[in-house]
Formats: sequence, structure tokens, C-alpha cells
Amino acid sequence: MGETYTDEPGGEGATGEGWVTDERVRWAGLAVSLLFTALILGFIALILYEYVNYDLLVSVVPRFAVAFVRVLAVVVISSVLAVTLGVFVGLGRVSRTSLTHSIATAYVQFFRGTPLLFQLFIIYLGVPSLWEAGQFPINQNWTVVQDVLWIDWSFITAVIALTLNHAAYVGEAVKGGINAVPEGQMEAARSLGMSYVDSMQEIILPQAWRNALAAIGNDQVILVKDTSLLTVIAFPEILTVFREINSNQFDAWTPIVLVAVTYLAITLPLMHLVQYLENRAEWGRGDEDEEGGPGSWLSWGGDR
Amino acid sequence: MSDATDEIDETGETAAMDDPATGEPMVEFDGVNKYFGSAHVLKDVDLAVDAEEVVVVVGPSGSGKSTLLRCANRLEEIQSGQVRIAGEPITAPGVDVNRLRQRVGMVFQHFNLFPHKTALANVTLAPVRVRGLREDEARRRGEELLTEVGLGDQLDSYPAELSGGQKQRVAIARALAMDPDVMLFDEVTSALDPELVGEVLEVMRGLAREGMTMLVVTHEMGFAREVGDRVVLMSEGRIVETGPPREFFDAPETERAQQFLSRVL
Repeated sequence: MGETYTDEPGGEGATGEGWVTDERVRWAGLAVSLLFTALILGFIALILYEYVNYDLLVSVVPRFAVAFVRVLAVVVISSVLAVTLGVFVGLGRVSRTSLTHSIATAYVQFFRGTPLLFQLFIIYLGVPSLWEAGQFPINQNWTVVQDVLWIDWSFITAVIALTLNHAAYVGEAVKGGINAVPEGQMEAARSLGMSYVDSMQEIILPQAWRNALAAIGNDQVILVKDTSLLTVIAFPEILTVFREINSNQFDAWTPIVLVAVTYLAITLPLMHLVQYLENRAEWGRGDEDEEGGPGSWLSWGGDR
Repeated sequence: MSDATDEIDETGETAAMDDPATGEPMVEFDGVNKYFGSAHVLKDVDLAVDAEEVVVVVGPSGSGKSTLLRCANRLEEIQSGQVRIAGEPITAPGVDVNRLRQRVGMVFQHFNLFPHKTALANVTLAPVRVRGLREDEARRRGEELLTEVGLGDQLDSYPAELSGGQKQRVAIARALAMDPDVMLFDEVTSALDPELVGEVLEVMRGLAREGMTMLVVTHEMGFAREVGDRVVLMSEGRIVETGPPREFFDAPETERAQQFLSRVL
């Protein structure tokens, strides 16, 4: 990021007076980032060398692997459902039917306007209490993989809450993506005799999807991290394992290292997937359009 | 789909559709008034474009000529009057506007090609999606049309890989793929580099020669004079003069036309 803008023309004397020249800012940026990197790498080396108990680390890897599988299952299901539902929320947000629009807006306002933790409680505690005590039908576990993955009320709650919550954010991203498609696209499609639905499906949504991909991907990364809240509904996720090990073994840094690795094992591939999808949507080397599309000088070499 | 065919039978306009020579004008504006908020942009406009006629609309910016064109396929709603396509009112409430739009091709100033589809896919999309043409038929027809506009070697190019002139020719092919009865051209050369204007006008000239009914909004006075059967001058939302190009350019009747021509020629 730091190097992105430094090749711009007008360097010599552009700012004229003062000691803040482009050249000096560039060197300062480089110095600060190198210093920062050195500090972090030094710290990590210290931790790995002095504070990590490798016997313990090896012995608890399986417990993190199990948490990884559970969290991944929730993330994959919730993410697919959230993006699917989010597309419809986004369509509702751009609908010209006022009732549809109002309902979609209220949905987004509620799920963005209240904490996810609260939404988890509504479903986890609120829904079962609609039944007489002990009558709630979902009280058993369906085992998928023995001792690793099972589906119980906390799992179902996690999927429902994460889906509903993130569909609201995806919906806003989709709405922004739709609005960023030039109006002429809809006009061209309609002028060919295509219906509104066909035009949306064939013309507007594929372009909106491309426009919204970065924001949607960002939200899915947040969804992964939001699973850390599931510990409060007794879902054995990654930080639950951390706390167990931390309190039983009086060791912080060994499980911390494993927590970082486990989350990154989900988020890094996800970020790469989003990048891959973005690259794939560069129809014919991008968008240097006369109509001033997103591909302007502002995004030079910007690999976000 | 079945709704559309039902409607044809009900309105009994099939004869006019199949036979453009029934004397019914292809496009007819009848006392059209259009407002944008409080701005009165079309004032009692009457205009009829006959089959195989090329009508060129000229006039200063903001005179309402593009709006008039956009009313012909109901991209703009009008507040009073009527617009008819081969006798069928497109402005009537409850009319199947998607069916009537298939008969009216439109080409835009900014091309509006679908950037996520290749040139060929831009051309074949609507015939397959709207008219239910088989994929291979649409493909053959699309290749034929793109070859006709000189882009037989760019079938698989994306719009971002084409020049402005090439994009506009794809846009023309895309509109023609629906076999429209009339083509609308909305300042189609205004966004082009000057050296690319010629190739687009050449395609339009060819269409006119083949007998396509055309309603053309343009600033290209040379094209208006050479290809137009009739020139229409608009000013402040009104048609102020209309006539054959020779008369219009060489002996304009109204003062407004003389003034306009003295500025643009």
C-alpha cells in the first residue's frame, strides 16, 4: 500500500516550500515500515524461542484441529446462506415497490443496529422459551463425525444468527454494487425487450457482483472472526479451546500461537478466494471505460 | 410468453406488424408532452416516421431531441399525447412494453454494451432470452451481423478490448439482432474520436440503403443532408421546422432554422 502512490508525476517542487517533499515522505514510510517489521519479527522470534512450550503445543494441536473443523462448517454454511440471502436483501433495497423496499430496509436496520451477541441470545435462549419448559423439540445432537462435528441447537443458532446478521451487510454491499452499474445498462437491456427480471439477472447483477465482491469478501472475513462470539452459546469454537488450555496449563503463549494459526488457516484462503473471484471478473483486461468506471488512476497497482 | 401472443390477437394489429406498407406510419408521435419535474421538455410534438424513411432530428443541446427519441420506446414516460409503433400505442397503460420494444432497436451515445459479455454474446443475448431463438441459430445470426458491420474477427472480444467505433458497431449489430422494424440512433457518434465517426456512419448509411426505418438524433449535418429523407429541427421542446434535407439546409424557412444553421455549418 505504502508504495502505491509514489510514482505519480509532479514530484519535483510539487509542494515547493517546506521540508515535506514526496521523496522524504517515501523514505520515511519505508523506514517506519521496516522498523515496524523488525520489531514484530523480533517479538515473534522471542515468543517462539522463550515462551512456547512445544510439547504442549504438539499435544493440543488435535483440539484446535477439531475446533477448526467445527468453525469451518459453521462458516461455510452461514457464508453461503448469507451471500444468497444478501443478494435478495440488496434487490429489496433497490426495489421501487415501496413495501418491499421498507421491509428490506427495516431488516438491514435491525441486524446492523443490534449486536450479533444479542441476536445470538434471541435465537439461542429466546426461541426455545417459546415452548413449555422441556418441550422444545431440538434438544438432541445429530452426530456428523463422532467427537468432532455434531449438530445441536448451538450449531443451528450459530448458522441462523450469522446468516441473518451478515445477510444484512452483504445486502448493503449488493445494493451499492447495483447502484454503481451505469443506468445505461438497464436501459440497453430494456430497449432490447428484456424484462426487468431478465435484465437484472443477465446484466445488472453480474456487474453488481463484481462491484460488490471486495465488500462481500471483507464481510465474510468478519463472519469468520465473529465465530469467536459463539463461545457464549456453548459452541466449542477456537477461543473456547484457548481458554480451556490457558486455565488448565497456566500457559498463554502456546495456545495463542495456535489460535492465530487456526484463524489464519480459514481467513487467508478466504481472502485468496475473493481475490481470485475479483480477477476472474476482469472482463477483457478491466474497465478503462470512457464512462469513468472504477478503473481510474486512483486504483493503480492497488492490490487491496 | 403466451401473454404476449394473446395480446397480439386481442389488439388485432398483426396485419400492421407483418406488412409495413399498410400506410400506417412506423413511429408516430401524437401531441406528445413531457415534463421533467416542472421543466416542460416536449411541447405538443407531432411527428410521423413512415416505413423505410430516414428522419434526422437536429437541434441545439437541451432542445429535447434525445428525450423525444427515448419516448419512442418508452424509456421515458410522457404526460400527455400518444406514441404509436406501427399503429400500436406504446404509451397506453397496460400495454406489453417488452413486446413492442422488440420492434424498436436503439443505439446509445455511450454504447451501453454489456461489459461482462463478448461482442457475440452481446448480440445473441436478447434473441435467445426474449425471442427464444435456439443458441446455435442466434450464434449464426450474430456472426452474420457482426461480419456485416465489419467485426467478423472480433466475435470473442470483450467491449473493453474494442475501440469506440467498434463498440458502437457492436451496439448496432446488437439492436439489429432483434430484427426491429425501426432503429433509433441517439447521438451515436458524439462520444467517438473524430477519426472513428466515419466507420459508424458508414454502417448507418448501409442500413438506410437497405430500407431500414430510422429515427436519428445527430450533430453530423453532413450525414443529415446526405442520408436523411427528412430533417426535423427541434428547439426548446418544439419541432420548429421539418423538410427534405436539400430545402432545410439550402433554404430554411424559419428564422430559428436559419439561426441554427448559421451556427453549425
